[in-house]
Amino acid sequence: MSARRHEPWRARFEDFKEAYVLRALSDDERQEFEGYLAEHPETQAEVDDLGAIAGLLALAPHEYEPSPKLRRNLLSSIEGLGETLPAEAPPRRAGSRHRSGLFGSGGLAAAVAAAAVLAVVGLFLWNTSLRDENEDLLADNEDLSSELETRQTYALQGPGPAESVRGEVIKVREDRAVLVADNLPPAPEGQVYEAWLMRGGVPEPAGLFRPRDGGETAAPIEGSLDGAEAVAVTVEPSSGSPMPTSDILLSTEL
Amino acid sequence: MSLAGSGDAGAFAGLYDRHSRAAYSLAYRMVGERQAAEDLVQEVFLDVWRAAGSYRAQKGSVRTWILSIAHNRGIDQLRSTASRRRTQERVEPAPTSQPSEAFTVAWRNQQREQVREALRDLPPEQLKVLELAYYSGYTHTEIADLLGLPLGTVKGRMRLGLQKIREHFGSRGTEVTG
Repeated sequence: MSARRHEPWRARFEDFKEAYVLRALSDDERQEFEGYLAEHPETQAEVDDLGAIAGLLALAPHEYEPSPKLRRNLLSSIEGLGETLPAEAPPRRAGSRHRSGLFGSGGLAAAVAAAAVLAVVGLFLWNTSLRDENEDLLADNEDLSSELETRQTYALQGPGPAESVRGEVIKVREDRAVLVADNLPPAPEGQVYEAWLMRGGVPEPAGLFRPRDGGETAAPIEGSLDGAEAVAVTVEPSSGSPMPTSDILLSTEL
Repeated sequence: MSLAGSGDAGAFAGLYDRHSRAAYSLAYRMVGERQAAEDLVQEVFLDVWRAAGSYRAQKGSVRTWILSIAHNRGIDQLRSTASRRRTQERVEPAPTSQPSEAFTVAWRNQQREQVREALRDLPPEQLKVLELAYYSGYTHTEIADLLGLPLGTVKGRMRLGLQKIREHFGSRGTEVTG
């Protein structure tokens, strides 16, 4: 270690530099530190280097899209824009179809049919003890059988406590999918599981669900998988959330 | 960038389209409310509009510059607002499970994922100190009080946490760029 490191200012510099780049100094401390920097410009490169590391933290948050209104407001507030306002930015990801709710367009009969499909699919795939019953239902509906034959499945995975959970997202039709899982622990009191469709990096609510006793779950995915990159599951307040408020429990890429 | 600096509204709009998402995500992480985050981002880009001419590429990328403005404005807001959103939830211990990769799976640039990976590799106590400082705007003294730790311990965790992030990138032969 060089002799200058023992100089009082240097000790203070060493003591403060990490907090400085994290903006964790008080105003007085920051002024003091910047005084050191001004007096010892040779230390600036070290601070810049450390600041680049701290700055990486800005990239870590989950990504969300600001509303189009923000863009409009911002551009209209820029003096002199007037008639030269550029067009709205194109969607960040092609193929982001208009969402069609699972029960959105087909009326009650379709909703009932869809619910039956999803319930049967979930149970059929999930609980072998119910397979016979499901097969009875399937035998009554050839269309349903064909859907099952053409289904696509995506394995759900999660870290930590979710490692023991087995689950899948099953795409039944273009606009219909169901999430099935086993060994899913009960949601904490006052909370519920919420599924999310990731589209262009933005999470869209895709339904709330609670596992049955034993942790079995068969829940419809509300929204089309088309154009989505992934399905994820978080724990949210009982009424659900417009945006995820907790870490991801389970997820799968589509 | 130079066009935006010279008052080209179209260039500025392009700048916004490229970087608003990252700025908003950081703002939302810091202030925790969508409207407050959008207000903050609007101020950030107004700053960018006013100061674009002073941007110097040798000091880092445009993204880094914009995010640093967002971070500084976010910290200022957190510290100046009496009703700042600092709930007890924010100082609860980190969950034993590491944050999931779920929302990061598909998305975007490699560096972003590497950063998240680096943070996941941090010991929870170091991550918590970095988060409280960087995202929540607490000073090191406040963090020491909140967590009931000696100030020296907080400083040490900051130092080790940043070192580990640097080592994470170094071990992969990737450069930390601005």
